[in-house]
Amino acid sequence: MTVARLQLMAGVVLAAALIAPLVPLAIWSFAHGWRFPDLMPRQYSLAAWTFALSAQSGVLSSLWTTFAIAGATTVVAAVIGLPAGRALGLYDFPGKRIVLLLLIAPALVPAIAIAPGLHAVFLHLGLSASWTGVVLAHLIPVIPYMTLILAAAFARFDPVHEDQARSLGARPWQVFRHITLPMIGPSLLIGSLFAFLVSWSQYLLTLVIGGGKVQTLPLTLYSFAAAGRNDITGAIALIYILPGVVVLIFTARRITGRHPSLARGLAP
Amino acid sequence: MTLELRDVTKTFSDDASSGVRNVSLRLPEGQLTALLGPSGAGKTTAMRLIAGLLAPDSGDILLDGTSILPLPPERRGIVLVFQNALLFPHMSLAENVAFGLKMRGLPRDETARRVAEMLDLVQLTGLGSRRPHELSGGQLQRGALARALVLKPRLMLLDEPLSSLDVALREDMRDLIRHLQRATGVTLLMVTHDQSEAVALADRIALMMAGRLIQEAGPDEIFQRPNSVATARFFGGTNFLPGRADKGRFISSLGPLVLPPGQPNGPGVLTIRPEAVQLVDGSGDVRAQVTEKLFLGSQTRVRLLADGVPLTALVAPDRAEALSPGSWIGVRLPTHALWVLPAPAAD
Repeated sequence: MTVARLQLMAGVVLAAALIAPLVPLAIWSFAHGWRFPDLMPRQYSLAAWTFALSAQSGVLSSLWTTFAIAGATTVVAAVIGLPAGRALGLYDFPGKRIVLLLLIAPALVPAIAIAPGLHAVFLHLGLSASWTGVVLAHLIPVIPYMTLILAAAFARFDPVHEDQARSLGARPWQVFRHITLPMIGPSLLIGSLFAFLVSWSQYLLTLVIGGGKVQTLPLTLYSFAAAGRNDITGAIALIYILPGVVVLIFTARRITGRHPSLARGLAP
Repeated sequence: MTLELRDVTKTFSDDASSGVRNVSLRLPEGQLTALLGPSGAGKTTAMRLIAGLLAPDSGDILLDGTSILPLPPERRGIVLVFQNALLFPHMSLAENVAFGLKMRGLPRDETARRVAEMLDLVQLTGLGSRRPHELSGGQLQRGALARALVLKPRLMLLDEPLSSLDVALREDMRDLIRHLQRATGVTLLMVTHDQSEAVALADRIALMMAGRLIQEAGPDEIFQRPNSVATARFFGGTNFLPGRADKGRFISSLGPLVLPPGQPNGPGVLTIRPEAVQLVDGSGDVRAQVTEKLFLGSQTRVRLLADGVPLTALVAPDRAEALSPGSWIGVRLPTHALWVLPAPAAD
């Protein structure tokens, strides 16, 4: 069997495994009642979609909230992750292993274990039930991904390029803009993608810290699911997964297409 | 443009070997100076200090009489070209060469013109759109030179520009550096650990060891008239004979030898370059026994023992053909090739 055919088969299997679970959701969102043991709904309607897209359902406003919080979380994580990743990737310092362990810790500890304590602290600081509080809470699971991905990128980065650029007349911000950023760009993109999607899919931390005041899409989704409205749940779920798919399609090429010269070094 | 280092010191707490200590040096305008020394001598540190990528602990660095220490690297008008031809991997060759001009905000058409001009000068015409990974080692090196020269720097620093190239390319690059320096008139300081490279390329050689400047002179002078045993050894000197100079003669265990005029009296170390030592059929200045013979291709190295004093001679292979370890031969030490070094401090 040729490699190309293997690749094609793997692609088909992967696509089926990823897309198949979404099919019932899609059907539900257009169903007008769908009872056991019917294989398919007997009647279809656009009622669920009409409702989901109406102002009354709150879906669009929570879509915007989710987007804004995920965006803010990503930007803050990048601002923290760039210097942190640089320090971890380029330099050796005492206690580096402990810092690494502490960084991974939030990814190991379940959110539910820290949520109540975090809530108490945030209440005390007046951060609960606010966007700021939710963004800060989201940073807990997001920063490890961002920092570790950037640390790996900086470990492959030779800072002498920055000195060379400096000596050629670039100011510090120009060095960052024209040398550092493009050279670690693919990793920053992956880190940002992870950050955005991890924040996008946060349920528990948003629920606890947001205190019902910050209504993101997963919260809206869950409330309709809990109410047994499978048709509306299906519609919201499809809206919910859309950004992830779109972002992935637009960035897949850039993530995998890294600079060949980085891998090959300067060997002739 | 004259660069002057005044008593510059920079030490590192974590790396004692690579600092510089009390270095004073003047670079003559429009000339190529080689900063020569073994690895760990502090050469690269000196470069980084001049380029402004490091700040000295003490001392001053002046350009045309004005201290440049307050200026950041990008304002010094000095370009350092790092080892290994660091073209930025995410830019084409032309973008690399244009980099410095772009940072200065030069108009696009003038940038393009100067980049094309510079690519012609380094014989990379038409390769501007290539990526660094599509270029050979020699082309990368020339690209790196072009990227620096296009800025018309007041001073250009080259860090081991030839060491990453294989032997065949090295000579081409050496000629090119020489040619570029003459064509542009740029003042050049080049770091190297290879004394033959320094001798072949440089107008002046500054020899550094263990963070200190040992000697600064023209290639002939530093080669023929080193100022210390350490310098002589670095340039391949092997024959060192302790004794004392007295009224034009050098008294040692080999007996008195007539010195060339102008040598100071007093204790010292007599040296003669191995290629100046002559093997003769008669008695010569001294009789010696061959201890080892090594064929090196264009020359043969003969190690000798004369009255307990080890000597090394580099002679034409046919001259050494009849010799074998144990045989006796006359050794002549020509007066004009003798040179007395100061006796080293006890160590």
